[in-house]
Amino acid sequence: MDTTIILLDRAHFAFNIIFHYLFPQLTMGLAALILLFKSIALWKHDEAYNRAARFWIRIFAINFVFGVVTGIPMEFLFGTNWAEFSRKTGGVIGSLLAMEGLFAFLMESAFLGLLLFAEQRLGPRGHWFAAFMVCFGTWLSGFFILATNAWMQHPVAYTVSSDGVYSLNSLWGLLTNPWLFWQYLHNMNATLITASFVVTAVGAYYLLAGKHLESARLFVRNGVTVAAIATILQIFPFGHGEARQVFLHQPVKAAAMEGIFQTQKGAPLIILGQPNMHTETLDNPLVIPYMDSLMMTGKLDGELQGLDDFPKEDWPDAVPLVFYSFHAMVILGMLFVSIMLLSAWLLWRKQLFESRWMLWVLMLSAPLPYFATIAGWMTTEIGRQPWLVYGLMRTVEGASPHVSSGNVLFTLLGFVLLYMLMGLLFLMLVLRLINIGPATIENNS
Amino acid sequence: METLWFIIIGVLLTLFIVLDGFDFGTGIIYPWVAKNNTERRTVLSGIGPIWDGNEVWLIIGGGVLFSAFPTAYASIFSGYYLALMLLLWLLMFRGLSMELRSQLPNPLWHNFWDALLVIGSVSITLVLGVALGNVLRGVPLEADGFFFLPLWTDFITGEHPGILDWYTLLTGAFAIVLFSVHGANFIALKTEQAIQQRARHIARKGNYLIALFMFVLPLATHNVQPFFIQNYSVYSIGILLPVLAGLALLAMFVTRSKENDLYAFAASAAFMVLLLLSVAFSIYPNMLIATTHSMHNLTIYNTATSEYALRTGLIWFSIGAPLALLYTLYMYRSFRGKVILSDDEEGY
Repeated sequence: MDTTIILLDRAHFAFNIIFHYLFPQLTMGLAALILLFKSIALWKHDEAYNRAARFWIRIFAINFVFGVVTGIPMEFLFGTNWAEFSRKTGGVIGSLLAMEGLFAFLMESAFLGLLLFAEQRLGPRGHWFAAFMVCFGTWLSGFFILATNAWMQHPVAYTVSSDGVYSLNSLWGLLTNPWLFWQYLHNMNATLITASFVVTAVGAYYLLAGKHLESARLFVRNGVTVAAIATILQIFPFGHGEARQVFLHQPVKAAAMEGIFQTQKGAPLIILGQPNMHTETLDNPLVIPYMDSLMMTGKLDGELQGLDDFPKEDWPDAVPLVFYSFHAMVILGMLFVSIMLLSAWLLWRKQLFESRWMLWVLMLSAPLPYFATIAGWMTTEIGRQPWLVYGLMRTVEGASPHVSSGNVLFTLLGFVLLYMLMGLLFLMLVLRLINIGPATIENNS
Repeated sequence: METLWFIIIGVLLTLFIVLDGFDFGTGIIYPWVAKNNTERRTVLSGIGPIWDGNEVWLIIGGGVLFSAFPTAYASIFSGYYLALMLLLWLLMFRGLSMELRSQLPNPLWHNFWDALLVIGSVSITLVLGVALGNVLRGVPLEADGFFFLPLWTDFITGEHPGILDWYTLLTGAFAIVLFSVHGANFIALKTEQAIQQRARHIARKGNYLIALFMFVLPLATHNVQPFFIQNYSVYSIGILLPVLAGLALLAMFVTRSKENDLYAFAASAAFMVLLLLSVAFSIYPNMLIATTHSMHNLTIYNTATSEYALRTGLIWFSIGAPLALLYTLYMYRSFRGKVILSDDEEGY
């Protein structure tokens, strides 16, 4: 198979999944925050929290529609562009996608309808339950999708026939893939970080603009509290756990993302640097000595495998991209902790609402968790190359044999155009809703 | 076991066609039944809360096809590449058109999304009808089990057809008429006064067109695929399906003449179910028919996954399907009765 078409097929899927995931990333975290608001409202009989929930349910609904609409193609793109992969692995991962539809989708859309339209009819407890089910549904959806990815990262519970077709031999094994544990926690916590940053940013905007002050304080107070906890957990134990599992099971990927070319004892942790593929060294490194070995093996002089330990055909085809994505994610993660700890401290000292510079920072930080998440997923997926299913099936073996590169490029450009329009539309609608604000929405309904 | 999964997929896709069929149909007849903004909002409120639930059945059907018959899934989706991409783009815009219309109180904005809704609904229905025609006519499967169809060639069926040819265009046109009537029956059921009268009128006229198609289509199909008659001669009980479909069509006329909207809707739903079951019955055990050589046919036997996966699949399916049906019924129950417009900003 020629390399152009593989690259185009990869770009096609990558573009679609990145754009699609912008929406569920907020949906899942926001569902949890809405559940939190509804719970506090129910527990403390605090109407302010109900108002906050109502406002965020509106934002959630728009976000959800865009997620549904961009999600429909995802299930089809396996078959359209990756037909060989689908034919060979559908017997394993197909069931996960079918289960997502069957168990999660209808639950989400049924209870979202209730959450939006039936607060009066359901009463406080019933409405809380609808919020719970929406949250449960979206997190269940996330589970099935991550289980699909986990199988591609770390295939389990399969048998393979002589002609290379995989079939399931344990449904339970597939659902309890050990890879899933850290991946699920790391990814779902990232959605929580995203949502808490967005909630905080909207609150910060209102405070800076001097509008909807009561809601604004509630958003910032709760957003910062959740974000401070979630950003710390994201680094330890979730991020650390995920990195260690990559180190144990996918050592080539680990070497590429850490930028370790030579196998060495007492490997340093690289903060910054530039992988040079020509000389196979890391240029201009800024390092903490011994730290990488210590974190990965628990010993200062633990040995870490470098890229030179593996045949070149098993290296990810874009080592620098894996390295930069991983480091972008880590640096952003550290930045998140600093921003949120500082904000939490100011909040505790009761100075946050008056610190305009900090509110500016919080407002402008809203897009950052999206960047961090994209960078993290790029590390995972590009680092998995050249494998489509790790260790079993190479990416070049997976594409559709009869779909030519021109057709792939044409439909990729079609999606780019369509999604640019949709992205603008989404921003317009959400910004409008934010501008109207919680109080006005309240008065109209 | 393979036969059971063939039936399950048949039922799921039928469910999708019958449920989403009426909201597509509503989208097609929309400008003819609803003349002003209030009427349009009324019609949209009729399908607004349920369209995405209806579409989920397509996703479920696709997922089940992927898991039970991966080879068929891979071949069909990559072979119809161009048509599927068009379908996806249309589905996206149509979904947005219903949800975004109400977001701005501006007549130009409304008109824009209204037009997209109609164009989207008509084209999607055409694509679905054409897809059914393609399944019946067969595709140029090659020895590796894959194919790639151009959008059209010379519009003649045969060994190397395009996605569009005279036969599939005929089935596409039929789908537009059928969905319009089904949608009109639904709108007549959900609305009152002027809108209801117009919907009833469309359904009445449409019934005759359907009857006309029912004379032409079986002949055309027999011309394209003479072997479909086989299953009916082997398992003669199957002949009941088209006979019942004929009766359902008769019921559509009777119920419409009595203006009983509920029964008319039930009749058009039953007609669609029976029609699709007749189709499924005649192609069984094929998933996809080859125009090249019958040796290349994709059947339920040469595309199915392992016995274990099919068996465990039954476990999760028999837990999930009742739950999914329960949510669907619950949704329909919450939005039962005639549409009442509220001034709530959340409405359509």
